[in-house]
Amino acid sequence: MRIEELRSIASRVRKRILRMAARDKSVHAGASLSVTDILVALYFGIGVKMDGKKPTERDWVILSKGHAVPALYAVLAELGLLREEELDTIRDIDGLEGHPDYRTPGVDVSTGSLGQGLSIGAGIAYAMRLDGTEGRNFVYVILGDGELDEGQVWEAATTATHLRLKSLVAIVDVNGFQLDGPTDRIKSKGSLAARWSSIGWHVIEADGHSFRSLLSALEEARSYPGPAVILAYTRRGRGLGLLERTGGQHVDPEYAKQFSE
Amino acid sequence: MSTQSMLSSSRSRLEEIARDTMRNAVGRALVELGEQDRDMVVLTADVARSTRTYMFGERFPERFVNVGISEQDLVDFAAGLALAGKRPWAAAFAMFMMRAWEQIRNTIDRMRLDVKLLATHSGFSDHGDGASHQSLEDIALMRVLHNMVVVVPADSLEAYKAVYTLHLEYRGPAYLRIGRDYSPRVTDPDTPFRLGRANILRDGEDLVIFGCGPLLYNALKAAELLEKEAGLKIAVADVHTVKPLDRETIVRYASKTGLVVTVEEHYPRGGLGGAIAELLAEERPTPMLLIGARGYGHSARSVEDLYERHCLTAECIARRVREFYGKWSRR
Repeated sequence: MRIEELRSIASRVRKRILRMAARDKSVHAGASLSVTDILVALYFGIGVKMDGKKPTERDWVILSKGHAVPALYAVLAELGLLREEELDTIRDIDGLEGHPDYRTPGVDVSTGSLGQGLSIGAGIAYAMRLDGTEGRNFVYVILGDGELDEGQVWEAATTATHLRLKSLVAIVDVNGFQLDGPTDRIKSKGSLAARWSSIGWHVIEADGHSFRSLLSALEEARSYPGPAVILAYTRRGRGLGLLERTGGQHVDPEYAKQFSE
Repeated sequence: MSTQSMLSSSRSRLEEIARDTMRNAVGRALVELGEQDRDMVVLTADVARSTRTYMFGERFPERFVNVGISEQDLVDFAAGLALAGKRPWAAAFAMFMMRAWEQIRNTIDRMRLDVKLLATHSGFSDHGDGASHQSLEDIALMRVLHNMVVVVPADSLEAYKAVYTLHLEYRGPAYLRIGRDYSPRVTDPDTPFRLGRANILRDGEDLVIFGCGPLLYNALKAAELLEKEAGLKIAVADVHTVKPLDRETIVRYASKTGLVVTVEEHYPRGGLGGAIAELLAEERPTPMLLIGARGYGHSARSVEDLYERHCLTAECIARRVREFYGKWSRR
């Protein structure tokens, strides 16, 4: 798919995110907008095989930073797995869940509690080895940089390199913010590249808003014979000036509305 | 082949299992099941020797993963395997499995994944290591989970049957709580093991003791003592499945005897005692005595020494039951 096409998909995805933000002020708009291009590059640039005869004969996407689920819903709507009107039901009592739920079509794993996705992904990647699909099918785990505070991420990271899991691809949406503020003010992360590579991960740094950069990073990660992590540098709230300037997470529904059509 | 026919295929093997330790019995069951089920995977967190899961690892190295000292990773790695169609058993000390409670809650239980949690060294069974290793809260934490099945076998033979039954007859999350080595025998090769069905080990009409785990041995001895000393006819039931409870048997025996005692190697608050109290409060309010640990444990040369300190010996249980009987009996 051409870069221009990915850009126009991303633009529709962002509009849908704002449509959801217009419905509910608690929607995590900032983190959804930062991860948008990553998801678009993955689903429409690389392609995710969402079905298979066996669960190890397909690809898996785990949104470990589950609060960015509006971005995933927007992608699933683009794929036709969710109807556009369904997006308006986000956080309704009978509507779409506020965090990923495996009962939603197209959502592979329930998340929401941070730090668990990489372990789950490692388990799936190991099952692929047992079934002989390692390296042919992939598990993409999308984490936030704030999420890396969770100790379990590093438990999983060492397990993954010890087992040399080839089907495991981690993507960190490095948007520089966590719930209480900028990451360097809440808890310094040190050198992310050094942290991952010291354990044995193949580290690829990418511009998280450039499709050229994201696509080449994803290709490199898929062909590396072991676990690879993409550090995708992004901006929280990307595409919505107000959020991009402040790094904010939530947006006033009335404000969001004018950008959602 | 049905679980029952598989289990009764060799009586001499079962007799041998009955003489073995709890963890050895479970380790053997896992290997035997691994022979027939190629989707079975066993995981542990640097306690392969202690949990006896190394036996599976030696036989099926590719289907065995040791994630190192990382229980949270252990639980979610198992969740990933289950999502991908495998049938994982994750083994850790009961105490340290609790560390991953939130992972168990949010990932395994919420998605109702087919993950079997094998929690060893529970209660006072790890007597030497002391309070940091003696889990007295895990039944409470696991039975509060919506989908979790909780099984606490009484002896090695029952633990062995429980592994078979949980693997062959149930798909979903389960917590199997076993001890280390101490497991005096209370069941026979012929004793049935059915999930959610309590076994009456001894019948009686004056009072009923509901118990789980190796303390059932002392509960039986206490019942014998009380029959000899006071002519009391006491029923003892092995409630190996703490969740879902055998409501029918429990309510029937509460009605029949009018007095209920619970015994467990755990705090009665939230444990089997709590579970039965919740049930009877709704179905059949009955005076109850809840017997269990009285506080944190500590290092000791034997499990029996700890039982003595916590008033869990046959004599101490008998004395407490007799006081309780004297207080509430209408006779």
